[in-house]
Amino acid sequence: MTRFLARRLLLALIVVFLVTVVTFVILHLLPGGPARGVLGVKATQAQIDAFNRAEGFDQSIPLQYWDYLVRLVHGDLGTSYTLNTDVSTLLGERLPKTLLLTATSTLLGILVALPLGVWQAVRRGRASDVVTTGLAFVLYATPVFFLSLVLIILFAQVLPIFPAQAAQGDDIASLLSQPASLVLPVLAGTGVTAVAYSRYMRSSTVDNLAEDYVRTARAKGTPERTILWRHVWPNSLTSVVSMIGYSVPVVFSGSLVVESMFNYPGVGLLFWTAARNADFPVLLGVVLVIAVTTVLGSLLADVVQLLIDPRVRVPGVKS
Amino acid sequence: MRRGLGRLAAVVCCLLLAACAGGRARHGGSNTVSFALPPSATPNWILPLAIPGYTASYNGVIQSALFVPLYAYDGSSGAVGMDQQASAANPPVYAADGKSVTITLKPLTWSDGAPVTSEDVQFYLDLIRAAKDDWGAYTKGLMPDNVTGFHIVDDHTFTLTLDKTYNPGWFTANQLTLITPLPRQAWAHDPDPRKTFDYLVAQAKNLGGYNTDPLWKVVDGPYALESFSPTGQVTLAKNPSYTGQDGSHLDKITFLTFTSSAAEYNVLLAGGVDYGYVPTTNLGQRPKLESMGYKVQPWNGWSITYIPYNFNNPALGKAFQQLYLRQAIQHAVDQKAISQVIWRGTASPGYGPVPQDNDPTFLSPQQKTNPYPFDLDTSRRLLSDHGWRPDPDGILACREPDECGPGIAAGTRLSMTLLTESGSDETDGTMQELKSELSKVGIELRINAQPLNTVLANGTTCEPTSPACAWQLSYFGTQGSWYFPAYPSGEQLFATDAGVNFGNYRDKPTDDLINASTLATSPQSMVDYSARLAQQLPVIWMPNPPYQVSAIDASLHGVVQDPMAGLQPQRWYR
Amino acid sequence: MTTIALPTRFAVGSNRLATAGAVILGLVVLFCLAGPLAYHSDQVHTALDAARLSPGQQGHPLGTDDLGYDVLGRLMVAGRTSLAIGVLAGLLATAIGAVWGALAGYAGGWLDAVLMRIVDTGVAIPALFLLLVAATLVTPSIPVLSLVIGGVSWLVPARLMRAEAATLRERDFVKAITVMGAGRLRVVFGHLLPNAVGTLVVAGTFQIADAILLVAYVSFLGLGVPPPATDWGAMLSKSITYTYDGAWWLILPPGIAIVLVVCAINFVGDGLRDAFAARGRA
Repeated sequence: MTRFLARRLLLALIVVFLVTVVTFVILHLLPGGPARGVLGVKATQAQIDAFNRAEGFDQSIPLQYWDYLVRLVHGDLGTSYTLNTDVSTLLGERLPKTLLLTATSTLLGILVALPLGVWQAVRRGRASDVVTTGLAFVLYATPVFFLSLVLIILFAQVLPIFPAQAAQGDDIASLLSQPASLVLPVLAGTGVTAVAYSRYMRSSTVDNLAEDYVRTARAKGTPERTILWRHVWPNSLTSVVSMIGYSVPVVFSGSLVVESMFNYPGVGLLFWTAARNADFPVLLGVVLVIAVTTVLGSLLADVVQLLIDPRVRVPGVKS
Repeated sequence: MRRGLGRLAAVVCCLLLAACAGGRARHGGSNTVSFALPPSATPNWILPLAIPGYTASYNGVIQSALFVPLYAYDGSSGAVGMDQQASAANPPVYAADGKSVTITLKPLTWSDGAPVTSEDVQFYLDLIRAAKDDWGAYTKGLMPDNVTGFHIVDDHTFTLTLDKTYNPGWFTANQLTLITPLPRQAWAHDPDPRKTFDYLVAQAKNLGGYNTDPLWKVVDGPYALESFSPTGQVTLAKNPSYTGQDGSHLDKITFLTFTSSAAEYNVLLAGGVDYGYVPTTNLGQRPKLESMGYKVQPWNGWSITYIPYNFNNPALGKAFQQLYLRQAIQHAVDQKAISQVIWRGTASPGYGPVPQDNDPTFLSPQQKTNPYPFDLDTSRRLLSDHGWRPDPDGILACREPDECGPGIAAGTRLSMTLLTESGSDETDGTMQELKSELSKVGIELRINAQPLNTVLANGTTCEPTSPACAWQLSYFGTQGSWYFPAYPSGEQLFATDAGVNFGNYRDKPTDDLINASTLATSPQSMVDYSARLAQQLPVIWMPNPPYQVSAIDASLHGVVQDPMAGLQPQRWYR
Repeated sequence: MTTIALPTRFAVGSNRLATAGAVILGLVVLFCLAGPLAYHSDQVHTALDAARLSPGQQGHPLGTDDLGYDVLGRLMVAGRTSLAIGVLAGLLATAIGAVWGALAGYAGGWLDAVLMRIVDTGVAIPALFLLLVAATLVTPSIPVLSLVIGGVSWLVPARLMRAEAATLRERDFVKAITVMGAGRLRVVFGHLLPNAVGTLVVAGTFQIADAILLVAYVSFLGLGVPPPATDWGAMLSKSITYTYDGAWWLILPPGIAIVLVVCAINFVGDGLRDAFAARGRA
C-alpha cells in the first residue's frame, strides 16, 4: 500500500510537471507576446522592449521556463501584470469562493443523484424511470450557459425570488452574508454534477443488482428492500468517492461557465479577466491550481478503488 | 473570450431588472458620490509620473484630483481647451521669438504647509530628464529634450528656454500639460534624481502602502486620498488644506470597480452607483432607468476611429497605395446605418483625422461633409475604370495592369483579411456589415476576430519583407481607436514613421502639414490637415463609438462629460 | 468542456428511444440540408434596414436578428455547421483515442505508462484554456474547428479503449497471434480494433453528441466560424443579449435545436450499445 501510494504520488507529480511545461510553452508561443496588451496602443517600441527584457521574454523559452520553475518551487507564482498583486494572493482570495460554489453544488448533486439513481435502477423501465431518465437526458444536452440563462429567466425574472448575480466583495464573508444570491449559481452547478452522478449511480446500481451475491440473497428469500439497503447501497456509496475524484475537471469547467454567467467573483472570473488582458502569470497560476486539483482528485479516486477492490488494475500499477 | 463574458453579463443584467423594484435608494450620504469605473479597470497608480502599463485614464483622474497639473486641458467648457481653474499656473507667456516661455504659479499649498514653488516644477523636470527612457510620455526630441534651460525668477515664476520656435497652442496643450509640480521637500529622497525616480516608482508599485505611506499624504489638489483597497476601490475626501480656486463641493467621492459591465449594471439598478454606465445592448431599458431617477447620456470621446491599411503588405500594399481603391472602399462604408442600427445611435460617423463632433475649431469643410458618402455604384465604377474585372467567383482581379497602378501585377485579386477585435457584438456586427457591402462591390473581406491584445501585437508597423507584414487591415476601435491629447494633431498617427502609424502611411504634404501644426502659430494648418486626410484616406474612416453611455443621478449637478475622459469631480454638487 | 468523463450511459427502453432518436435526427438533417432548397433567404448579406423584426413581419416566419438575417433560414445554415463539425470532431476524437488506447493497452509496460501519463496531463489542463490558445493561433473554419475539438476530446475514448485492449490482450486468440510472431501494429490494427468495434461505434456516437455541445461552447467563447457563417451555439450565445427585449425567437430555436439533436444522438447511442451487448451475449 505504501509503495503503491508513493508510486502514485510520483506519477501525479510527473503529470503536474508536464502540465506546467505544456501550458508555459503554449503561452509563450503566442505571437506578439503580452507586451502590447499590457502597455497599450501608445507604448513605444523601446518601452515594449524594456517590458520584454524585464519579464525575461528576450531569453530562450527553456531558460524562461527554468526561471519559472525555480520560482514555483519557492512558492512564487509571479505577479499579475495588470493587478499589481501576487498571483498567490489573488488565488488565495478567489479560491475559497470557487471552492464554496463547487463544494456546495457537488454535495447537492450527490444528495439528489444517489437516491435518484438507486430509485431509477429499481424501477428500471417503468414510466417513472423513463420520465426522470428522459429529463436527465435533456439536462445533459443543455449547455450550462443555456441552463443558467433559463434559471435566471425563471427565478429572477418571471418569479423574482433570487438575485441573478452573486454578492460582490473582497472575502468569502461578503458572499455568505447574502445567501440568497448564491442560490442560482449553486443550482446551475448542481445541474452539471447531478446529471453526471445520477447517471453513474443508476448504471452502477443496475450492474450491482445483477451480481451473483444479489441473486444468492434473493434465492435465500431475503426481502428486496434488505438486499437494496444492506448490500447494494453500501457498494454504491463507496464508488461515490471515486466518482467525485474523477469528476473534478467536469466540476471545474462547469464552474468557469457558471461564474461568468452569475458574475461570481471566483477563480473562473479571474481566469476570464486574465485571458482578456493577456495576464500570463495569472493564467498560469489558475491552470496550475486546476491541474493540481484534478490530479489529486483522480489520485483519491484510484486509492479508494484500490481499497474497495484490490484486484482493480490501476493505470501505471502492476497488479 | 470577452464576447461570452460581455454577452452573458448583459443578459444577467437585463434579467435582473425584474428583480429590482423601481425607485432607488441613495448610496452613502448626500454629499458623497459613487462613480463606477469601466469594466475590469482597477486603479493601480497614484504617482503623477507616467510609467508604461500604468497610464490608464482612470489612474489619471485620481492623480489630477490629488496633484494639480501645471496645465489642465479638458472639455469642461464645451470645447477642448485650457481649464484655468484646474491648472497650477496662470497662462504661459511666450517670448516674441517663441523660443522661451515664462510661467507664474498660483498660490497653492502642499498639505504639509509648504507652498508650491518653482523648484517643485524643476524637481519634476529633473526626474523625467534623469529617467526619460522609463518615462511613459517620452518621445525623442520632445519633452524634456526640447527644454534647454530652466531659469527661476522667483518662488512662483520661472522661464523655460526652448530648443526652437513652437506653435504656442500646441506646446502648451501637448507639452506643458505633461508637467506636474511635485512636493520636492517631501519626495526628494536622494540628491541623484535618477535614484529618487526609481525610489518613487518602487513606492508607487506597492499598492498595499497607499493607505499608510507618508509620501502620498502630501498633496496640493482639491482631494486627499482617504482609502485605497487592493481590489481597486478608491475613496477621495475633500482636502481641507487646499488653497486654490477649484475646491470640492462634495465631501467624498468613491470609485467603484467591477469585473464586468453586467456587474456594474446590476448595482446601478439597485441604486448603488450615482454615476455609472449602461452597456449598449441594454439601451432598450432607457425609460426604466429614467424613471428611476437617472439621466442617460452618451459620453463622446475626444477620439477618432479607423481601420489602418498596411501599405507595406507584400500582396496588397501596392493596391492600397492607389487613392481610387481607398475611395472605392470608403464609398462602401455605410457609416450612418452602422451608427444608427448597430450602435443604436450612440456612435457617430467620422470622416477624417480630427474629432468630428466635439469642437469645430479644427474641422475642415471637407471632413465635415464627407467627401465619400455611402454609394456602391460609385465604388464599382471607380474599380472598373481602373482595370479591375470580376473573376468567375465575383471577386475583382486586376486585368489591365497599366490602369490598376504601378506595382500591381495582373491577376491581383481584391481579397483582403481584416484582423479585428473580438468580444463586442457591436464590432462583430459592424464588420459583418462591412464585409457584406464590400462583397457587393466585388471585394472579398475575410474577418479574423482576435482578442484586442493579439490585434495590437500583430497589426503593427513592419518592413515589407518581414513576415510580420502579413496583416492587411486591422481594427481596434470598439472604444475608439485613438484618444487625442488636448491638441488633436497627427504627429503620432499619420506622420511618416510615427509610432502609431501602424500601416506605414507616407505622404510628404501630410508630413508638412503636421510639422506646420506643431511649429506654426496659425490654426489653419490643422484645418488643412483635416481636409487633406479626409480626402486622402490614410485609413478607412469608421463611426466613432462613445467613451461610454452614462447613467447619472438626476440630483447630481455640475457634471460635464469631458471628451478627454477627465472628471473634475470637485465641481459636482447636489 | 462540460462533457462528462464518466464511462456509463443510460439504457432505458432503448429500442423505442433509439428509433425516436433516429427519426428526429433524420428530420433535423433533412431540415438543415434540404431546407434551404425549399425556403430561400439571404444568409450572406446583412440587411440593416430589416434588423430586429419580430416573427411574421415582412415575410420572416421567425423574424430577423440584429443584422437583418432571416432567423429560420439562419437556423438551417447554422445547423449544417454544427452537425458537420460535430460529426467530424466526434469521429476524429474516437479514431485518435482508439489507436492511442489500443496501443497503450496492448503494449503495456513503459509505453503504456508514457501514453497514459500524456492522457492524464491532457485531462488536467482545462479544455477552455487550450481552446482559447488555439483560437489565437488559427483562423476558425469547419475543418480547423473539427481538428481542434477532436484534438481536445480524444482523451475519454483513449481511456475507454485502453481498458478494452487490456482485457482483449488476455484473450486466447490475441495471445495466440502474438505467439505466432505478429507485429505489434498488426495486432493492434488487425485484431484489437476490429474486435472492439462495438465499443468504438458506441463511443463514437456519444463523442459526436458531446462534440456538438462543445461546438456550442466554443462559439460561446467567441471562437466560432467567421461570419457570415454561423452555428447554433453562436446564434444562441449572441441572442442572449436580446433576452430583455423579449426576443424569444432569437433564443429558443437554436437552444431547442441543440438540446434536440444531442438528445437524439444519445438515444441512438444507447440503442446501439444495447444492440452490441445483445450480440455479445448471443
